[in-house]
Amino acid sequence: MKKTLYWCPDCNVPLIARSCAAGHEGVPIQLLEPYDVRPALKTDHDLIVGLVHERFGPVPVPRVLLLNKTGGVDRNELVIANGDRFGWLSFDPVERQHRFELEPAALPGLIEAVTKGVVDLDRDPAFAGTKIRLGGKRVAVSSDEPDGGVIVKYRGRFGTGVLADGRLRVRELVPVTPARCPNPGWDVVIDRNRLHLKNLERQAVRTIRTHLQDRPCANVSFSGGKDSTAVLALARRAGVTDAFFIDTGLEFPETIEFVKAEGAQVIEKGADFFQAVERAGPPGKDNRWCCKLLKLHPLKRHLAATGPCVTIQGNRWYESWNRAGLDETSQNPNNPLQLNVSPIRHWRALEVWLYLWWRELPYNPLYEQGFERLGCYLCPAMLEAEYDELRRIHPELADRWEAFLARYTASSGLPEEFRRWGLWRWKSLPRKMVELCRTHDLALTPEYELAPIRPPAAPGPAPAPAATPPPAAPAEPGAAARGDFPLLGDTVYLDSAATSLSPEPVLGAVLEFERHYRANIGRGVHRLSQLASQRYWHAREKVERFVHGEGGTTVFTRNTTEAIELVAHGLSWQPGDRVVTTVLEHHSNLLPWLRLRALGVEVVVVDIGDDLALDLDGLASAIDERTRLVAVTHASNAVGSITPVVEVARLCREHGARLLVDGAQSVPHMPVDVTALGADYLAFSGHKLLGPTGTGVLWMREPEPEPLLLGGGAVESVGPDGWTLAAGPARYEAGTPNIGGAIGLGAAVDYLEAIGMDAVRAREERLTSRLVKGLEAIEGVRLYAPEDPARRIGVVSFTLEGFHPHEVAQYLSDELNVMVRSGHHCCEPLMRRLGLPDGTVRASLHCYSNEIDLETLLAGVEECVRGA
Amino acid sequence: MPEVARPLRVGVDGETTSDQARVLDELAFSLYLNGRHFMAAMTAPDRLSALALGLLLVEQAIRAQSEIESVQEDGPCVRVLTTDPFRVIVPRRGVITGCGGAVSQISERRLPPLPSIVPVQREDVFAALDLVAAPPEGLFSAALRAGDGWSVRSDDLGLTTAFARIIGVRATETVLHDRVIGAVSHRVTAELIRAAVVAGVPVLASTGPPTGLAVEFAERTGLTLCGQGGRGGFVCYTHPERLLL
Ligand SMILES: [Zn+2]
Repeated sequence: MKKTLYWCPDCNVPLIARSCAAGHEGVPIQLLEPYDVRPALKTDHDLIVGLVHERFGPVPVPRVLLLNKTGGVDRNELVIANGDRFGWLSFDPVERQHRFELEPAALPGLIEAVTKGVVDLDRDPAFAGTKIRLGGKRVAVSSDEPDGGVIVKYRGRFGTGVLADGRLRVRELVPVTPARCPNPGWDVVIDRNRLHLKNLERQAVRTIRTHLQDRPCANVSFSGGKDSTAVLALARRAGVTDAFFIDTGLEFPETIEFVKAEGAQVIEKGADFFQAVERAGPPGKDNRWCCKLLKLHPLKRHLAATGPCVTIQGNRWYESWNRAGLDETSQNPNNPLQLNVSPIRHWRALEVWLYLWWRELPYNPLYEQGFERLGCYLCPAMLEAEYDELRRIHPELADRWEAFLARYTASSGLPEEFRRWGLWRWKSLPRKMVELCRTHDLALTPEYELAPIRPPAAPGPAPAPAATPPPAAPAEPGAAARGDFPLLGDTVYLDSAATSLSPEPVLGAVLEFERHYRANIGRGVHRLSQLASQRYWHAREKVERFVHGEGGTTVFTRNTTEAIELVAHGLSWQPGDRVVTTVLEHHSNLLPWLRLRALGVEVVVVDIGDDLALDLDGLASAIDERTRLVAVTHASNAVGSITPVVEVARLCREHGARLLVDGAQSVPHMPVDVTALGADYLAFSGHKLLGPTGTGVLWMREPEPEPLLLGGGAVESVGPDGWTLAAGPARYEAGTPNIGGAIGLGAAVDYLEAIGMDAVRAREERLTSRLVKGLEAIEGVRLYAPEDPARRIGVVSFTLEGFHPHEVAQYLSDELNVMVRSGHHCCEPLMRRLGLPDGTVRASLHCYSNEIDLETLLAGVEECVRGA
Repeated sequence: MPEVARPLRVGVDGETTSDQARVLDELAFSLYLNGRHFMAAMTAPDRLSALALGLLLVEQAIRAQSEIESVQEDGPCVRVLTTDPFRVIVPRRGVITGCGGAVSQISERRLPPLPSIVPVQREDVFAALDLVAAPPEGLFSAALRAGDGWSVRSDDLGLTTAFARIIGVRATETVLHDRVIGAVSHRVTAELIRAAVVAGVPVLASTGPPTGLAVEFAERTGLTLCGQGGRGGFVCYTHPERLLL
């Protein structure tokens, strides 16, 4: 690593190697860690000139200024000019302003032009005089110069110092001889370095060419920043054409525009930062959950599509400690598909800039606005100085973040400084920040976290997103707004066949019940009871209408299982009665019938065909005159096949049998009309229908069954010798029901109806085909899904050669935050029938699933295959 | 016929029979709004949800049907939930019993303005009056008739509920029927003028004469009030500028 910078004293320009193209020899200047030096671009140059002029009058400031950033509370940079230290530029995150202090070495170039900002100790009445060296000392003075950096004059010597509260800290006093240096521009710097630049380019292109064949294809990882702009140009010289850019969703609009202009492919974001941050809290330099979520997962998706590749990247040693040891090539530790090549790893920012300028390459306009490093505009690694820059250029982006921070700060009981000073950027504060906090009497926990000053507020609901609207994506027909589902911010949820997620309106409806009118339903006359009763009643109306069941009896149960059991228990069975069901059934639509065998009821289980669909002929021959009831699923929860219920209903009618349809997997995903289906009973679950858990529905054409339970609410009247059952659904709902749950279910039905079930079905059909196709393309995957897209729902079962389904599910969950189900899916007879003793992996969709979810799953499955 | 009754028909000559006895249906109607008892009324058992909606509109408890989340009929009770059931609803009733003893104040300040003057045909007034010309014995009739020919009628024990019911029916119509003329059997009172103005009915006609207070109020609110109407003609008491004669 280079720790020095060369400077040509004759041309007065920095050099990236010892020699100057004009034939001179450079002299070394010591740099500060991490030794990355860069030109001061326009905004920074203007800033420094402004600060110097404000302090010392219209003194000359060289055109070529270099910045050497180093550690500090926030921005802290050594400014280099005229081949020496010129001064220090820093940002105070508390006062929120920049400061500049001169170095004594800058004095010869400007001392003659200074008009103010000088403390003349020879004439200062308060200065008592001293015999010892003043350098590094603090002395009392009576100067009326404002506090801050000053020039000190004493006994013919000059120096610099800092004035604060009537005391002067003197840096150093030296004899100063005014000097006039040439003042070249950056064009001269480029010219004097051109041979070195040519050399650097040649080396880098050679490095890239050397590794191009290491993998079947090559591409450039393009971030829109200066380093990757240089690398893109170099890679294109080496013959690499493909470039990709990962859109984290936290990109500056300028960056996106620049990336598109440069012809890089934009990889769409998967997760949503603003949704995820509500659960995870602000990311920190030491807690970068956001990178994994926003960058690594999209990269996995992209690489799963490209396959093994060489990726040229612009990482440099000087950027950070963890890049200092970077080799020419490195295997991406997070992704075995990718071999990274870093052709400019040994360049400093200075080399990068000179190269861009020399080649006249376009670069991201944000650099000229004062940004030093680009990337996510909320990166915790960003300095507060840069954050203020963001605030200035894109107040709308800063506003959204600050609204979150304000809310987070308040609800966590943290002091305002947490957000005002940017302390959110660390989970555990570093030493310099600990000191800052102590100076300002801010309490810290033993883990060096900012301590709350109030008890955390009760978690309130997130404010209406209307306050800070995210850029609204055009609504896709059949798709729910992902922002409505809090979990989707950082989770790929593909287990909707087990339990769906609930959108905000459903959560809101349940919470409103709990908070504002929680009361029992029924006979209560008080206002809350009336509200609860009416909402509960209305929920039933909505659900009934949702399945076009007007005129029937709609009963709320705990789930599909209880709904089916209600029928199985409630009908009066006679020995010799027959029940026909199928091998496709969930245990919940099988065990209640099998138990009837003890009563002498004959239970026949009809098989499926090779296409995983119900064997209709087998069913036809199984239904006879003794058959009281046929119980079939509308759609299989394990393999996704749809049962032709209308055909089954016709067979039932011919033999006078009742038909029970298990709609747990169909009602949430497609339009269901009980009348058109010809069902006598339809059972389904609320928790798969975007509703709360513990909600289910039994619709009955006629209320034939006896109630499962007797008790309060189920009776009209009770006398000494007996009781009269209540009319309507109430007779089946003894005891206090899940009132909030039912109300939530009503809201879920509203939500789905607003999207439109036809559209939901059409979209899920398309997504399912995409998933099936993607899985088919992966070696070692065996699919268990019907071939006809019209005959399957968004439930796709598969196995992976060499893996237990649980292993696959565990891997997907651990590595990619992808939730899928594995095992028997409560369908052991079906799994046995298919020869799958370990079951399958099952991915299942809902209206909130999208292509990115599927691509993430596919990328994970491919990783499994490769890892085998 | 209630079981307790033993109707006895007495003829002009003193002869008695027990057949041919009619009764009118009457129901003690209760309206709940957001879980609070809103009002009670004696009414014919007819279209209770519409009656509830009409009463809420006329009483200015709600402004439009779109504010309603659900309407539950529960025997003689109708329970209405608005989409925001926790908002406090202050009744905006415009009839204020004056402290001077008389019903001196019918405040039109709280009333919405009537639709701007769209002239109506003389024939439309006759057609509206036709609807209420022959109320069933013992009942009052109220009707609305729109420019497009749409109409609705209610026969009830009182005009207040009959009129509220047809306002409710109109509010649930998916098509907006405008140039509406209201017609009632018997007479128009100030109370009805207020209801008509709130409901945006700019012309009100009756078969009998209106009350003096009704005329005064119609004049102030800009409503075209007609009375003593039938096929033979009617009297226009106020704002004849709305009529195309
Ligand atoms: Zn030179």
